[in-house]
Amino acid sequence: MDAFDKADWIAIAQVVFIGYFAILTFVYLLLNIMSYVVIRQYMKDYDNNLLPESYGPLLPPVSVIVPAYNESANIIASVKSILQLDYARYEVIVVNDGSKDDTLAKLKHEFALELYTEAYRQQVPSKPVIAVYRSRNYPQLRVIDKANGGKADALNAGINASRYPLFCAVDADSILQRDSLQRIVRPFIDRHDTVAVGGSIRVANGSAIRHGLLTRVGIPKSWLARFQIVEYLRAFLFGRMGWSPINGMLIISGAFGLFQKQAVVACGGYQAATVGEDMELVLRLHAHFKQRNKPYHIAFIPDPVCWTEAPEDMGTLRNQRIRWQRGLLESLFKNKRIITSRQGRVAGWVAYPFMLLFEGMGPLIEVLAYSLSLYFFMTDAVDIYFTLAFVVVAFGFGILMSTFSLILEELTFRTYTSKRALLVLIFTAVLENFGYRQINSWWRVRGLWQWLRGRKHNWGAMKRVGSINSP
Amino acid sequence: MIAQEHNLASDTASEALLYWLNLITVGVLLAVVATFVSLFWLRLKHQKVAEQVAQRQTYWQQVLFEACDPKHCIKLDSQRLRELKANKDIFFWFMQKWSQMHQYVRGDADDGLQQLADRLKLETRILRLTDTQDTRLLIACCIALGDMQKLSSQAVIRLVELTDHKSGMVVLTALRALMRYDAPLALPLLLKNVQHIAPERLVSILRECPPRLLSEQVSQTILRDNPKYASYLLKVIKGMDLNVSDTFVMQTLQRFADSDDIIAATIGLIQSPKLLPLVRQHTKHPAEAVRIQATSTLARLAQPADIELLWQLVCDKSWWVRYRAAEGLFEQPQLARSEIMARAAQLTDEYGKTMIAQIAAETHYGRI
Repeated sequence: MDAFDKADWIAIAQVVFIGYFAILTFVYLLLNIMSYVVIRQYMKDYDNNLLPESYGPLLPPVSVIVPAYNESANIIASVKSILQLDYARYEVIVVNDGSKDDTLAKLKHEFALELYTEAYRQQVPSKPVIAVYRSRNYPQLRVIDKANGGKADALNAGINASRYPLFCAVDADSILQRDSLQRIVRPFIDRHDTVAVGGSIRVANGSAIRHGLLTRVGIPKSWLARFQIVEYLRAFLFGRMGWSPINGMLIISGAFGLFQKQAVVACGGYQAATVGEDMELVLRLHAHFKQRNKPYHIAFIPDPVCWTEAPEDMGTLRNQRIRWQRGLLESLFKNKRIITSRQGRVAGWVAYPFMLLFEGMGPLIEVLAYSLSLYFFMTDAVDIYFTLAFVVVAFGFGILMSTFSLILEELTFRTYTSKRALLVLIFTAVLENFGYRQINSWWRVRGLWQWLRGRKHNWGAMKRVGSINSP
Repeated sequence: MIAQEHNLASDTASEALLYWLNLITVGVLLAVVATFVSLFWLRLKHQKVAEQVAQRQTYWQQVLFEACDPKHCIKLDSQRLRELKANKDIFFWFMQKWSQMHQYVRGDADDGLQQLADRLKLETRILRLTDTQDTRLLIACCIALGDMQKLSSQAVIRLVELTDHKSGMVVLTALRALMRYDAPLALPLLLKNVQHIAPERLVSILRECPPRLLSEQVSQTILRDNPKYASYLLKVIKGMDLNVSDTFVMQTLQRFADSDDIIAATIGLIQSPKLLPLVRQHTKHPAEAVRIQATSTLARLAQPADIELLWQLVCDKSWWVRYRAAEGLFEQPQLARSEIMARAAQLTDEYGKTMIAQIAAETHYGRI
């Protein structure tokens, strides 16, 4: 009877894991195909300018909002890069969220800030503003000094102070490209019902940055940063691009995203009581428009428009991943109404369950699969051939997904130009599946556990290596 | 017996599963190898394609440069011409480059570009392209048509049609193209259609229009239309820094006497000292918006006799009126900073005193 039960359990486990794996494979392949088609179409007029310079003023003006908390190491380089954007009309609003370090002092010194009187309209809730500064040297730069309230609260303060109909949320540790705004604004021109656009984020470690601008793209020495390069390519080039044409994109990275202010204000702005405020907002936008049955579109552009510093030590990376996982689950559960909405469609009925099952619960199932495979093997419940075949398929599929994203990158931007860089990336795509992926899954399981326990959130300070703060 | 049968069935199922798993394993491994190979193949292929594209682009850029000298006779390569005719993407790229050249050239060079356009039948091809639903292509087509020195009647009709497009950017570029070609035709269309567009964006199109025609037409429209539209157009006039006649100011104030927004916007447009009595009168208007604009205008046009009125306005109940009046005092050339500070010290109104101190601090910050 015991043997019978054990066999049953093994059979059930096999069916569950293989079924789960098959669905995951199918969806990933589908996303890859969709990304491929969309990216090919997108690249057709990639080299063409959006508008000649003299037509620049016709483009919608943009408010760039940079929330900053203890960002002393990178803030100057980041603001400098934003001030050099090639766009006809935009303003930059840095929101100092009660930093404890010298972020504000550095800003005051570098940009010759002076106190500035202006009407501040409270459209979305945020903590009190202490002072507003304007730069003497850059009239389009303002700095809002406010009481500490978290990233979402800082973004809300930025929205309140912004003057233009579109706002772009940028992380203070990000480096933008000169044409980043021109590129990300395109979907707003292509479709009048666009309410938000996300851009592709790349890892800046190993690249050369001068005067706030990326001058050479390179591969970092740290393997941890290299793994993240492949991870970012995979996440952005097919993880998000695939969902975009069917309006199923549920995440716009907090590092760089463009939003229609009116839509965000109508939704109530960013929610301060959440870790993943970026994803939560996108989900709420979906829910808001679906509830009112209004046409809308949330788009994604594959262009490498924003470069960010990836953590190079295990501790920081672990904290980041745990926070991301908590943010993902928190956002999904706060907006669960879109799955039951009569207007749910792709976002509610396909993308949401996919996110929940494969991104939210995926790490748990993955860790469980590894543990059970090991257990079954140790107890001779399954033979070595079966275990080996399962391991090879799981690892092989991981490698395949990573190399697919390298192919998409090769078809599009070819950011890493040298053959050596390509070889390193291929090697990294293989290597990341042996150890890095499993550690990542474990961290995400811990994120899931922390979410279940309802741990309090904070700004998520990151140990900087200062790779983007070159002179 | 049943258990044995069960074990047998489960063994068969496991074997089948293992068989399929092995097949998938081989498939995945083959796919991995294939992607590695294709990565390098793609790199090589793209290097070749990039070279071809670079050659083609260099050729057409050279043609565009040569075209800027109309005396220079350009010999066009037949193969490149065929490519340009057959491939929509190449044509799109060329059309954009042709348009961009117009930003940097004038006179003879502009004529040369037009000759090249005639030779390549650019207008006909662009018109054919405007059947698309692709917004960005439509925008590029409108821009290119706007750069033509002469347009056929079909092109003008198509541009007029595009001023009704659902995309605001297509409407704006079509209107700008029309404005460049035929301002009297475009202006009424613009004034009729685009009140939903922010005045500052509209201003960049209106700059293509002769100021006199613009001033006349906008003034007439304001006096004819409803208050909401008039208020919008007054902002456009302000953005364009257009001169408006004293008669227009008087007529507008009369026609919209019950709309505080329009009165405020009109008072803000006054540029003639002849209307100073009217401005002074409006500094006592009950509506805050009107008093703010009247104070700003007064500060701009003030005669020595108006200084006293500005001092009174520094003690107004509205923060913004006090702010504008204090700013105005610091802008008066005949008033020294020390003089203002001395008089402010004697003010009995604490709010006025604070405002002078604030502006003094702000203007001090502004000095490098």
